[in-house]
Amino acid sequence: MESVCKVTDFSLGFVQDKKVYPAVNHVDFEIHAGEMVALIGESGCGKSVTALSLIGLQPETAVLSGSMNFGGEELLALKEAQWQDYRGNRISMIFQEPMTALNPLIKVGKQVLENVMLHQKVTKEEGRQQVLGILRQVGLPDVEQIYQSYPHQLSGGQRQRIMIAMAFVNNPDLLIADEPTTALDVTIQAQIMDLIKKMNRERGTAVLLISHDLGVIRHLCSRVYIMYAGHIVESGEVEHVLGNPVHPYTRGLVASIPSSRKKGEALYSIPGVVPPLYQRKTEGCPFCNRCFAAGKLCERITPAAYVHEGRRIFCHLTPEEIAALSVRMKADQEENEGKSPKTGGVQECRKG
Amino acid sequence: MGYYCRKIGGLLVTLLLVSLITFGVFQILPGNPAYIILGVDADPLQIEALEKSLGLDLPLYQRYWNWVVGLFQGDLGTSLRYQQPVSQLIADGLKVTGSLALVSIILTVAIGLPAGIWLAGHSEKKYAVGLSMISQLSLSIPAFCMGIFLINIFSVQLKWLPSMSYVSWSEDPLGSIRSLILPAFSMSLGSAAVLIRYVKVSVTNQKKQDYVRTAYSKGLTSRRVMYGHVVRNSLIPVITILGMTVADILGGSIITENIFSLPGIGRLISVSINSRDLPLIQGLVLYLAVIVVICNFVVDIVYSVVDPRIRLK
Repeated sequence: MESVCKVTDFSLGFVQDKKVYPAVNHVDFEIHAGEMVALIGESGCGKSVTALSLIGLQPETAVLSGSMNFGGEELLALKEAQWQDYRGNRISMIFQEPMTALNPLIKVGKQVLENVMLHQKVTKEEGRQQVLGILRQVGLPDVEQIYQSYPHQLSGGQRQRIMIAMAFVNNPDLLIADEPTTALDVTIQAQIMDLIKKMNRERGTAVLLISHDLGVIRHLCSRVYIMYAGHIVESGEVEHVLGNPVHPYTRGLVASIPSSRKKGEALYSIPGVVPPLYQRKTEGCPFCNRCFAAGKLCERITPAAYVHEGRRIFCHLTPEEIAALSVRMKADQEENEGKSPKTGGVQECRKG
Repeated sequence: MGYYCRKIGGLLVTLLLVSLITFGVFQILPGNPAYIILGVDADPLQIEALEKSLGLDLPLYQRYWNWVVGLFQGDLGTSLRYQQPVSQLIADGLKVTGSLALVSIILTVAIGLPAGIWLAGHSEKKYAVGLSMISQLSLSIPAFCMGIFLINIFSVQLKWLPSMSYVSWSEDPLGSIRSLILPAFSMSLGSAAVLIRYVKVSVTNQKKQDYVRTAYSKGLTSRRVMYGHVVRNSLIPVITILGMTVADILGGSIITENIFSLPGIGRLISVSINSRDLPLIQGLVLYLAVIVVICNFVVDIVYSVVDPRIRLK
């Protein structure tokens, strides 16, 4: 399949006091044309900055290296003036918080129109018609009136629909959706996800979906990248990775999803938290302090990724070795069930 | 629409209270106006006659009512010192202070707004520190000091601008502006410095908002993000401070008008107090209060135009 965007050996670090703190380490991923791909990970694992780098909006203190190839162009080499042709036109982005992502003082129709007028040579009236058309397509009622509304007059779901309209109006090749439903009501979440999927199918726009919602990802995406502390720890087809996780982190992630089968049981939670950026070690496996399978080697040497049955796994151990050690997961949990001293705060919160 | 009705209603109630308080304060003041006019040694009969002619023997509510009716007819009484209607004196003073205010406000905005926006975008640059220091300095220099300093340079040394001859607008428009530049400049430096700080903080805050990231993600240049999105949103807190500045300047600057010998409201205030001209003082107090109330009203209206969310609240 043709690739829209191919990221190779991408690293990102934050500079503070003349020291570079790596937030993303040697990440490889690829998005094919018309495909919907998911990037999963805990907060602070580097997925949002990776996504922002794809549209050139990473924080100013970030230093990037590696390659981000977009349709034959190297994104990391683009000058600010060149970026303007890509943003909102060939690559667009939907953000997490629809309540604040729109300018509160400008009518929403005008905000979408701004995007059309910026990238297409059309008259204002043609642009307006185009905006009304896309507003209809994203399922908004009474589009003439919505066009004239201010963001505060719309609900969260409607605002996110406006953001989606804005993102799709110029028919981009790639859409980055950074947790587009996290801030919405549960009832609206599914609608918004279905809408993104519908636009993806109808317009053939590739989508990079950043999400925590494994259920949604399983339902909508074809492939998935699991990120932990700046590393992609496991990647492959959604069915394989989420249906039959190999990497200890993915196992923990999948085990922590509630399901009807686990009714009555205590929910699994991975012990500990992602270490803050300034406390991360540069050597060893980033997950080793929370991993049930970690050994002496994991603390000293950063693992290399290997390919196993079409998926990439970032671990020292083979799938069989991990599977054999996974009984410890249960033991860990039982230990946590007692009065776990190490990570008490987090555990208490989860149970409460 | 309801918003505007509420605001106009609020304005009327406030004006009523202002008139009550102004009237009330001058009733509480010790001393009988008739004594002030005629002197302490005056004949009691004379005083009684004068009180009658001034209407001072009437009950309080009646006097208030007469006073308010007079206000509506533009009658604020007669100045004791000038022997002219107070309304006429205030109107004449307002012509001068109004032109001065107009020039100062234009200067304030012309200096404060661009400098504030620029500082917000370049706070890391070395020369930004310089500009910050200049604004800090002009904030801390008192207006009279600045006035004398400016007269010394531009009138005495360079002889570019007049220092103390007010030319009215109808006589000579160009000369009028020339005579107002120095006083307006000395007044606006301080307010521009305040404005710079407000604009800088406001723009810096707005630049961190999510919608700015959305604007960039559309492919807008940073210039268009700034002027199409950030600046307008930053103006909301700035409007308040600008409204206060306008009210302040329209209230007349006693010091600046005295230094530059401008026959404006500020001069009128100092003269009326020095000569214990009660009717004039009362008229001026009312004028100052009304100016503040009206400026706040205008600020509220401008708010609602800039920010559609406010009309809802």
